Amino acid sequence: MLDRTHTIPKNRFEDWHLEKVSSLLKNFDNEEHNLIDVLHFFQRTFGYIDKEVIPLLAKFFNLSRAEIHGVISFYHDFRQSKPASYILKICQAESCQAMGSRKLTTELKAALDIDFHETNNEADITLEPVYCLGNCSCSPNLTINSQLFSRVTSDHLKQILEELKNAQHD
Amino acid sequence: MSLDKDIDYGTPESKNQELISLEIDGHQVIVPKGTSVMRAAKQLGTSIPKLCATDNLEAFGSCRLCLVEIEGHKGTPASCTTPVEAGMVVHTQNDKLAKLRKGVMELYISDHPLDCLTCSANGDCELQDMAGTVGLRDVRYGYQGENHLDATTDNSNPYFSFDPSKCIVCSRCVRACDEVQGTFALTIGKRGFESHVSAGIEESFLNSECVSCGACVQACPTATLMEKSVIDLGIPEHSVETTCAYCGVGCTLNAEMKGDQVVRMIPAKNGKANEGHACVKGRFAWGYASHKERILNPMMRSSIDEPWQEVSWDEAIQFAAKRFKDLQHQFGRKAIGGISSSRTTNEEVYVVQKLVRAGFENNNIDTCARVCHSPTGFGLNKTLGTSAGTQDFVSVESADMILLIGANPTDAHPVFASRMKKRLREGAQIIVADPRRIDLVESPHIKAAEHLALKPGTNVALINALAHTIVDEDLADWDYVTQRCDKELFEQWLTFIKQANNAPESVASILGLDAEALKKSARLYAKAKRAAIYYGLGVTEHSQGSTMVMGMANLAMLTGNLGFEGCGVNPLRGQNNVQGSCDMGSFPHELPGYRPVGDDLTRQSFEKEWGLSLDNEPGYRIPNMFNEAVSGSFKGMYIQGEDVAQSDPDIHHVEAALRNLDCLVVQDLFLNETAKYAHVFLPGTSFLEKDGTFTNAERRLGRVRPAIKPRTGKHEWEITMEISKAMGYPMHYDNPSEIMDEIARLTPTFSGISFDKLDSEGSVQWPCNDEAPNGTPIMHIDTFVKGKGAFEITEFVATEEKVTKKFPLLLTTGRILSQYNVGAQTRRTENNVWHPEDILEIHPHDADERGIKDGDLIMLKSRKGETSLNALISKRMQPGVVYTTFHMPFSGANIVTTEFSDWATNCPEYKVTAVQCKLTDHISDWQQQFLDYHSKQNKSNKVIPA
Repeated sequence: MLDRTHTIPKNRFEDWHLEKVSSLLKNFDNEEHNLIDVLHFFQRTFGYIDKEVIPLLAKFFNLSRAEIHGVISFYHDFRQSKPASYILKICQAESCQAMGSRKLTTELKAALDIDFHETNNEADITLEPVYCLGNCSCSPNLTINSQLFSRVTSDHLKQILEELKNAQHD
Repeated sequence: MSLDKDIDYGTPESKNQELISLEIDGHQVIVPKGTSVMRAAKQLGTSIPKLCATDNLEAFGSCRLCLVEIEGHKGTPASCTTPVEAGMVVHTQNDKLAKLRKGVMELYISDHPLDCLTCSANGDCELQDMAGTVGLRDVRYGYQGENHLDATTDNSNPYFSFDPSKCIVCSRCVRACDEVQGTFALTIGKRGFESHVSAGIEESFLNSECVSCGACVQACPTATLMEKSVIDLGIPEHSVETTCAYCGVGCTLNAEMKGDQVVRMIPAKNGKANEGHACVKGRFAWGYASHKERILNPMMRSSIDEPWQEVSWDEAIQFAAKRFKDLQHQFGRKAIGGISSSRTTNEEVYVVQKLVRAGFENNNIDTCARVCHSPTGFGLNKTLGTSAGTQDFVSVESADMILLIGANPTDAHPVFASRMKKRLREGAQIIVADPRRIDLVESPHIKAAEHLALKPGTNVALINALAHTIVDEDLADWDYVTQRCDKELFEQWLTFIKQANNAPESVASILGLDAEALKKSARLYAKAKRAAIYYGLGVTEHSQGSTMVMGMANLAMLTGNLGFEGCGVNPLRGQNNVQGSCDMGSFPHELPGYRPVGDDLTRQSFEKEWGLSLDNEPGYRIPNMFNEAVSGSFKGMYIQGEDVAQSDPDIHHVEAALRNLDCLVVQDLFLNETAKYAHVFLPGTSFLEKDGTFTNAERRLGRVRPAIKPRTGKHEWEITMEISKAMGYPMHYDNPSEIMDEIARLTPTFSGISFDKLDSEGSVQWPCNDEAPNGTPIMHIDTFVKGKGAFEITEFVATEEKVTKKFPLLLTTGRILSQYNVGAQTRRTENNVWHPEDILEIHPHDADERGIKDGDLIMLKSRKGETSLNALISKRMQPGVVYTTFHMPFSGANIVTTEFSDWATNCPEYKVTAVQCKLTDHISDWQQQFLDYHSKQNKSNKVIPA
C-alpha cells in the first residue's frame, strides 16, 4: 500500500487571475443553481476560491455579494486560500474515530506543526478534516489528493509522510 | 423591535379561500388553508413562544422554541412551519414541550451576555420576554463555555449599531433584508457554532450592499441591531401615528416618543401604503426638525442687502401685508401671487390658494407640481378624466408585466420599489424604459425582460412605436376599446398610429434602440394578462411631457389595461403631498378638485362659501410669474416650502426674477436659497409638528398628527390666516379639521372625507363621496371618469434642445436614495454619509475621449450656464448621456438646465440639456459667487435678534 504514494499526482493548480476567472465564467449558464458547480470548478482549477471573485459571481448570477459569500463560507470544503500540492484529508466521522483517527489526527498535526485548514509549506501539505469517506469498514481512512488510504496506523502515517517527502525530491 | 404592540401572528396571513377547521388546546378554530399552526393558535389568543418567527416574514423554523405536539404526528414539529390540516388536534403547552423549550432557551442564554439591566433593549426584547415565558431560571451549561461574547460591534451605520455578541442567529434580519426590502445585503456566514450574520462579504454595514432601510433593525428580537437613538435615549414611552414627509409613497409611521422628544420612527404595520416598511429617509432622516440651522422666529428686512431682523409674528405679517397691498395699489391686482408647497398639508395648501384667490383677489397661485407632475394632471385628465394615478400601490402585487418608464423607484420611491421587487421575484416581468441603467434593470434577483435605453427626449416616439406594433400585430383588446372608449377619437388615433413613421423601424434610430427590442416589448406588454405602467419625472419633465402621459393612457386603453387590479397608469409622485397640493386647487386655472376657474357653477359655489366674487381668468403659472417679474410687472410673491432658487430650471433667470421683486415672503424651515432674495421670512413647521393630511401618489389621504407642538409657536395655516386677515380678507378656522370640512363641502371628490373618517379608517383614497363612502382604491372600474376613454393623437416632435458640436452630450438629472429633492431636510441629517455631494456620471467612452478619470473635477457647461462637479465613470450611462442629481445647492445642476418646457403645462425640460464636459481646475463663476455669498452671510449678515 505504501508504494501508492509514488502514484499520487501533485495538485497542479493554475494561478488565480481575475481576468482568467472572468473569461472561464462565460462558459457557464448563469442560472442561479449553477453557482455550486462554478465554485467547484474554480476550486478544481485554482485550488481555492479567491474572495475577489465574489462581486463578479454576484453580477453573473444576479445575486448579492452577501448571498455568494454565504454559500462559499457555508461549505468548509471551499478553500479561500491556495492549498499545497498535497491535500491530506483525514476522516473525523464516528467509525474512523472509533478506530483511532483522533490519535492519528493529533499525530498528524504535530508532525506537520499545523492545524486543520493550514498548510505546511515545507512538506507542501494542506491538512483538512473530512466527515466520512464511505469506507467505514476499513477505518480509519484518509485521502491524499484523490488517493485513498485505509486502515491507517501511526506507523503507516509516518511512512506516508516520509514517502511524500521523498516523492517531492524525485 | 417597536413599541407597537400590534398582535404578531408569527407567520403571514394566508390568502387561500378554502377554510380549515382544527382543534388547538381543546378549542376549535377555523382558518384559511395554508395558515400555520402558530398563526391559528394566535387567532385563538394563544401565544406559542417564538423567536425567529414574525408575521411579515415567511416561516423559517430555526429557533425551535415554537414546538408543539400534534396528535398522530411524530415528534414535536415547529408550529411556524407546520400548516394546519383539517381535524388536526394540537397541544401547545404540556410538560414535555415546556422542558424542550426551556432546554432550547438555556442554550441561547449560555451564549448571550447577561447584561439585561444595562442593555439598550431592556424592556423591549423578545429574547428577554421568551426567557420569562418559558420560565428560565438557570442555565445548566454555565456561561463559561465557548461563546461569541467578544464579538466586536459595528457602528459604521450612522443610525444603528450591530452588536453580534447579542445575536441569536435567528436570521430575522437576513430575511427582512431579502423578503421585505429585497436588497439581500445580509447573509449567515459559515455554519454551525461559527454561523453569524454577515453584511456582504464580512463587510461593515456601511460598506456593504445595505441601503439602511432599517427593516433588519425592526426585525431584530434582541439588541443586536439597535437604533443609536434608542441606545442614547432609552426606550420610548408613547407613540404618535403620522405620515412620512418625504416621497409620494406616504408611509404611515409611528413617531415613538419620550415626552416631546422623538426617539425613533417605526413604520406602521397597518399603514396601507407601506405595510410596516420604510426607507433610510423616512425611518431615520428626521433629525433635521431639530437641526440648529432651523429658523424659529419671524424675520424681515426692507431690502435683500440688509441683515435679517428678528421681529414678532404680528410685525412680520403686517409688514408683508402692507407691502403686498401697496404693490397691488401701485401695479395692479395681478402684481402679486403665491406658490403653495407640496410638503405642507392639504389644509395648509388649501388656505394658501384661498389666500391668493380671496385675499390677493387673483388666481396667481401655482405649486411645485408645475415643475414635476403637471403633465400627469393634464394628460390623465384629458384621456381618462382624472388628474391622478389609477391604482393603489397594492395593485402592483397582481401585475404580470410592469412597464416602468422614466422612474427610478429604488432610489426615489424605495418602499414602493420593495413591493414591486417582491412581485418581480414572484415572476412578474419588467420592461425598463430609461436612458440610464437603473437598479431595476439588473440587481440581485431582478432582471428586466428588456431595458429600452432610449435617448433622452424620445419618449413619445417610443410609446407610439409600442402602440403601432400592438395595432400592427393585432394584439389590441378591441372589445375593450369598443365598449369603453370614444369611437370617433379612437378612429382618428388609429389612422395616426398606423402611419409608417410610428413603426419601430422608423423610430429605432431616433431612440437609439433596436426595432426588434421595441416589438418584443410591445408584445410582452400587450400579451400580459395584467400589465401596469409606472412612471416618473422621466416622462413628465420633457417638452412633450403631457403628450407622453396621454400616449401611455392610449396604450393602456388599447390593451384593456385600465379599471382592475394589476394594471393602470401610475405616476410615482415626487413629494409627500404633491398630489394633495394639486388636488387642493394650487393651479392658476383650477379650483380645488381640478375644476376650471372659468366654470361658473364651480366658481359660484366657492364665491358663496367665501363671500366674495372670484376672478374667472386663470392666473400666472410659475414661469409666467418669473417672466413678468423680470419684465417688471410682477412685484410680490408668497412662497411656502419650495426652494425655487435651487429646484427650478435656468437659475440665472429665476434669480433675476426674485431679485426684481419688491416683496418676497418665504416660509420654510431653513434659510433656503430662495430666502436670499426674501424680505420677510416666516418660519415653518416640520411634519412632526403639523396637524392635517397628506395625499400620496395613490390618492390616499393619511393623517399627519403632531408629535410635538409647533416649534415656531404657530401652525402654518394660522399664519396664512393672519396674512389673509391683514390683507383685508379675514378667514377663520379653529383647527385643521374645519378646513378639511370646508374642502369636503366644496369638492365633490372629497365630500365624504373628514378627520373623523380618516381617524377611524386609517386612510382613504379619493374620490370619497356618497358613491364611494370608503374611497376608491382603483379608478375607472366599469367606466372612465370621463365617460368614454379619449384617445389623443400623440405626434412625436423632437425637442428643440439638440446636441451640437459645441454641446455634444445630453445631460439628464435625477435623484439618489439618501437625499431628497433640494436636500433641505436630508442634507441636515446623517444621510450625507452616503451622498455628500452631487456627482456627474459619465460613460467610460465619453470620459476617455475627454481624458476624464474617476473623481476628476469637470466643468459642465450648457448654453445657459456652467458648473463644476466631480466625475464618476459609470456604465450605467449610455455613451453621449451624462447624469447628475440636484440635491446640493452648490452643485448648481439647474444653472445648466434650460428654459424649455412642456408645451401644455410648462413643466420644465429638466431631463434634456445639451452640454459639454471638460476637465477643469476651478469651480464656476456662479459657484464662486455662491461661496462668497455664504461667507459674507456668515461674517456680516448675522441675524439681529428681536
